[in-house]
Amino acid sequence: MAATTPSGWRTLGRELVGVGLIALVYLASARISLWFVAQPQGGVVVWPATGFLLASLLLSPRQNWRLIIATVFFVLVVANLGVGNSLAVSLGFALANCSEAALAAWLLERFIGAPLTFSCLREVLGLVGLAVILSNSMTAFLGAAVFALGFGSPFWPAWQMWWVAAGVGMMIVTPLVVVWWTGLNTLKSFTWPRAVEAVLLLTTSVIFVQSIFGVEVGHDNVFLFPYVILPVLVWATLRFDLLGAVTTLALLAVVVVWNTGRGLGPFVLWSADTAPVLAAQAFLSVAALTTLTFAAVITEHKQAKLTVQEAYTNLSRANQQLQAEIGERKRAQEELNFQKSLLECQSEAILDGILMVSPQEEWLFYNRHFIEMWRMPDEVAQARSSKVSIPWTLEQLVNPEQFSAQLDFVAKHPHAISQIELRLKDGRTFERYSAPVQSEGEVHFGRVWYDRDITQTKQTEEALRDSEIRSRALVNTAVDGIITTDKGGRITSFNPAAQHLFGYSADEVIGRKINILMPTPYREEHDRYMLDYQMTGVRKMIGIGREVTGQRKDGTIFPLDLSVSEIRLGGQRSFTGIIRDISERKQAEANQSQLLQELESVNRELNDFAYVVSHDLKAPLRAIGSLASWLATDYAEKLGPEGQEQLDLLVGRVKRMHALIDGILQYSRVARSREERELVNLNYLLAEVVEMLGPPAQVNIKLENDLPSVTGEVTRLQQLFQNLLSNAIKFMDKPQGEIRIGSTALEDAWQFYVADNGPGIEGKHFGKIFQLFQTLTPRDEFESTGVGLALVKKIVELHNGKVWIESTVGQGSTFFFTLPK
Amino acid sequence: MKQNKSILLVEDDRVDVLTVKRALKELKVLNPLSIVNNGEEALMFLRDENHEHPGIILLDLNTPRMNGIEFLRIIKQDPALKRIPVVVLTTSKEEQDKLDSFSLGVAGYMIKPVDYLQFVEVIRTIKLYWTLSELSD
Repeated sequence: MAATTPSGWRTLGRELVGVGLIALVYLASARISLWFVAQPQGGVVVWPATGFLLASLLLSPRQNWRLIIATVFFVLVVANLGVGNSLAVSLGFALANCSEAALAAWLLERFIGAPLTFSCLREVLGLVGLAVILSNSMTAFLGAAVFALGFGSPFWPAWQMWWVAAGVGMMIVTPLVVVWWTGLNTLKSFTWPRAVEAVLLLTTSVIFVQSIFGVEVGHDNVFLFPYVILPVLVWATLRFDLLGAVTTLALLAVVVVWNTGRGLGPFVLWSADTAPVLAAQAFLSVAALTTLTFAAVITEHKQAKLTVQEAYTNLSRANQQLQAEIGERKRAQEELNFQKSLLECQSEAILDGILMVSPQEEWLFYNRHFIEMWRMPDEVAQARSSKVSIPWTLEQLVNPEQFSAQLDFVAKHPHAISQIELRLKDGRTFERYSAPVQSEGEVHFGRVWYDRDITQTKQTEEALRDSEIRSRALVNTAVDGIITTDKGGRITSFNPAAQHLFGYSADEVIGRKINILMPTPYREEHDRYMLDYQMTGVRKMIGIGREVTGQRKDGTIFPLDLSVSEIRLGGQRSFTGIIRDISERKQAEANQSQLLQELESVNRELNDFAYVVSHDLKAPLRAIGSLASWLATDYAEKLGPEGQEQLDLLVGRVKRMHALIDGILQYSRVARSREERELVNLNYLLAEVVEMLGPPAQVNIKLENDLPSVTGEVTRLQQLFQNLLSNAIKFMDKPQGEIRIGSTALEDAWQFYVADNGPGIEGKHFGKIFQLFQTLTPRDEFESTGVGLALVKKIVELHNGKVWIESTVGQGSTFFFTLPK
Repeated sequence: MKQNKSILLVEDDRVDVLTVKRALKELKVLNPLSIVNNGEEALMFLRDENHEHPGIILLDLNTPRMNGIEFLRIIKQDPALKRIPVVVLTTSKEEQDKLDSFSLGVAGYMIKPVDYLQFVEVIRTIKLYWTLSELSD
């Protein structure tokens, strides 16, 4: 045996138990059948054991058949010996019984095929034809032979009895066992109403059949109709399929056979010599055949219906899917159409030229702009092929070899993108960009070329670059420091001059706050100042140049001139500061102011000196004058006329020197003394002066217009007019002197004139007359010190005015001067 | 001249002294004439118990050691001296000198002319003033 493993032993154990059970059931069934023979209308007419054995074989695997059959054979032999049959009879019965089931099983398995479920017509017909008719009729010969030889029974009635008993057993019991064994689990799916109906069906059918087969038949009720069991069977089959059919059939068979065996029911009257049970069994076999066939057909029908339904469901699902797919495709098509028209619209609207070329160099698509920007002749465009257009394109280019090289490159690398700048011979510049057109699956449809006219951009770019280079050069070579900051005051550029000025390199300060270049306290205040400016917009520095102080890297502080301008670039505020080191200028200014102070002090000393000296000179001069005049008086006779004249001349020169010294004193006094400036009405002032001078009668002084009031020092203004007028009077050479005075208003000053009709002055002397001690006439004719006009000039200049003269010799002079308003 | 009071001349220039003497003689002024060279000497003279206080002081401003203005400041503080009339006799035409002098209560301010004859006229004027003016004392 192969069963050497524990699981093998277990399987063997299970099989042995199964085989034992089969044998026991078989034996019990046979016992019941043999007991039934003892009934009044009996005889050996029912033999369900064979049907059971056949079902057992059909449900068992083939290799177990020998064991089952051997066991049943042995049990049968023993049982027969047990009831007193001879060994030969026992062996004969056992052989006949075993062989009929074995043969039927073999035939069914051989021709119909396992496993059998009796759910189709072929299997039902196979059971009837192969098992009940063919196998059964052959083995019935064996059984009839045993009866004839062992008990002397007539052969044909025995054969008939054997055939019917075993046949009905096969027709009713075999399907019952097989269907229940294989279809037991269908009971689980029974709902309560269905279970109730099943019980109702079985009860009703038993009661109904009992009402026909359980009555004693007489002459008055000979027409009891056995076929009324058929509607019950139809009910069972229609409602409960094969399981209902075989179960009801078996139950009714028991009722029919039982009642008939007891001498009741319609078949009892049938025949005197034929056993009523046989007749009943013939009826049952017909009922069974009909029911089984019907059940099979019903099952097949239901199966077919299910199949059709399933097929229909599948079909309609497929249909729905198909419809959905069609709808999807339609939508996709519409979307595609929309995209296509959109694309066309865009490609026409776009400023770029677009050309799509297939891998075979055919033009698939191009927009109007492409043709227009290239100014492509019709014969080139209409060829719709790169074979024609490329040679033409190359002719238009300044740099055709570059473009050829790129064409070679994209031909070798169809999935690459490309970009090139094409310079056309007509001066334009195109930017040409290309990309492969491919689907996700890497299907290569060709290549799209985009052309953009960038001539203007290019020119702007170049102009911008030039200007940037220029301004960068300007900034880098500027003598002034130039610093730019962002709106937060962080340094963004720092030119070489600024680096030299502050001692920082550009790298050190860029990104840092500008206030690192400022000394305390400006450094601390700067942040707040910037914030103030941003909040209030009030400028303290921006757009205004100022002198401030800066701090170098080494901490030294220096003065600088700073001008800041604000620039807004793209919404970003930034500041540019221009810085000039004014240390030297400051130094120069300081030097100058010191020089000026020194000069002033020297000037003052000089004035004082002039005053003191002239004062001290006067004393001895006067003494000389006095002594000379005493000599002339006291020693008149001794001197004689000649000596007298010499002493007169001496006294005259003393007087002149005295006048000169007075002039010096007057001149220096003008520079020395300072009065408060006040508003002076010149009309009054002039009147006083004229009165003081007391001009001779033949000189007429005429005021030609009202003089304005000016701000000035009263005494000096008096001296000014006094000197001019006294000059005019003093030098007057005409019998009728005419002096005219007037003023005109200039933009920011008054211009005055004093005109006379005196001798006039030559042009070459115009500069000289305003110098100190310069006179134009001989001193002996006019006692003039030459101080007057120098004084005039000095006074006018002290009042921030100018003085000049216009004159014609012989006709007169006009002195002009200005005084600020 | 008045009650034969003396005249004090504060003058360092010998020619000017001569001029004054000559002019006084010419004008027949016979009052005694005391001459000091500068303000310091003048103070010493005035504070000397042996000397009678002069009837008038002729003061040159531009004198060495102590000039006329300084001298004026001192005597005008001195209760014993401040009432003596002082006539400034100077070459200075400076406004400031005139202001200072009059502020210090001088009786007159005379410019020494260059011409001797004019000088005599000046002295004549002083004589006239001194003769006519009432004096304290």
